[in-house]
Amino acid sequence: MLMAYIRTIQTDQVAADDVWQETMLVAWRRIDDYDTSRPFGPWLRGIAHKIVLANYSKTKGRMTITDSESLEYLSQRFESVQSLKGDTFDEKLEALRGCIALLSDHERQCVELRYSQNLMPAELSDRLGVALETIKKRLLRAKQRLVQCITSKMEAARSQEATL
Amino acid sequence: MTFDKDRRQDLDQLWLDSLLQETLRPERERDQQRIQSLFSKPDFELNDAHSAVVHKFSSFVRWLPLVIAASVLIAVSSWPQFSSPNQKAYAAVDRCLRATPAAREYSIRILLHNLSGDELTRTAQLYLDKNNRFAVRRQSWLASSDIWIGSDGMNQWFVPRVGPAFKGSERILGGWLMRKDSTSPYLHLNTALKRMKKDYELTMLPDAGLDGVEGEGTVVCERVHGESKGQSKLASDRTLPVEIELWADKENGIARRVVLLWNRESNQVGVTQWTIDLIGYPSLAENWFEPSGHIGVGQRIISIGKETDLEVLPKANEEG
Repeated sequence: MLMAYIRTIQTDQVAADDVWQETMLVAWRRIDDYDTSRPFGPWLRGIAHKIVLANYSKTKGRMTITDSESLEYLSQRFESVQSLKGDTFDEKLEALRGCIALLSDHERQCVELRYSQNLMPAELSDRLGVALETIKKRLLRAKQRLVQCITSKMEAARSQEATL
Repeated sequence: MTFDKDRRQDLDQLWLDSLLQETLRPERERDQQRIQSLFSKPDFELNDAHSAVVHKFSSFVRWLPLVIAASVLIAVSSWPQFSSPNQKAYAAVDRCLRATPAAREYSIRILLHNLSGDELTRTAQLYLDKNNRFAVRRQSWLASSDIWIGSDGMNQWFVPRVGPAFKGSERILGGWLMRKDSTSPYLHLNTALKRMKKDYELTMLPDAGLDGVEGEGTVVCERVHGESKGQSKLASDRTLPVEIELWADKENGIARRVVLLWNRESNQVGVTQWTIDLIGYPSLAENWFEPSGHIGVGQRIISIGKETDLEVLPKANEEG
């Protein structure tokens, strides 16, 4: 999940790999500072966040986010994924697969091609023979629905956990 | 957070982009390379401080019931020492253990409840030998490769799908496992055994037949039932089973089946039943009960802690 977090703020793949590696090494060296009574994910993401900001001057052209508040918000969003059922990140993503299955056929096709084959909207437009604006609208609508769907699943999982 | 709704929506879109990429275009090979590269760095060495939190890097928690299963099979060797009036039951168990062949292979069928209240089935293989060594193999949830956990009689070890294998004293690894899941306080192998010695009452059940293995035909078995004592903490503890049933070959005493039942309501998440069946007497490699027997090409074995840590093992178990 750490890598997914880093990818949201560092679009360059090689730079993202570097941040991940540096984060793990710093965490390893500073393991004594970690409070074992607290969740591990936010601690790791906090280290990544500092590394990203420290390298800002070198990598700003490839960064999507630079302010601490936004980074903190994203970290919380990733932490909330922990509430979904499953032991691993991949198992937790099963909830998102369920949300994708609920999209309309047009929207699902756009989302799957966009992310599984890394096609840009213009390429999707060519591939599907649909106007670019239509593709953009479909993607936007689909992503809004997916955010709503996964958020409601996380909230349901949290309230179920609270009642156990 | 003081930013406006639009900014929040933008961030949500970035967050979703990343989740969609992980879901629809996972880069398993690149992930593995990144992890291998990290572990090959000279300053990435493990020490005692790391062992306290190293579990956070993996998902070993799902392995813990397998340790319990192995411990239960090993634990029957302690039953004859129990202070119970039903000596025949203890004698049957005792005979079963004296007849232990060089190595045995068992299948494990695990029933568990998930968060949705559904009942799931998992399977695994358990290998045991007469020196209390064990190895458990389970297929990774994510890939076709196997994950292994075991004990060479002195140390416990893990061979994960990706990254280095870990080997260390039970005190260190047991503590690590317990910290991973605070709702499972009795996962430490020796602690589990202590609880069982103290808290189970054994009785004999009528003999019954089981299909034999390797062309044996039907095997008549003595059955021993173990139940946690009513006032014991086990009645409310969800980690150890509340009932155990052993099926032992009447002729030679070999354990053929062990059934474990946990105290869980249908809406409670976790393991509800294990059925462990003997499936054969395999010839195993010399290093089968060591991590070296199961690591992949280039996979390192990292030792956690020092051998001297074993000296404090009894103290670590006093709470049991």
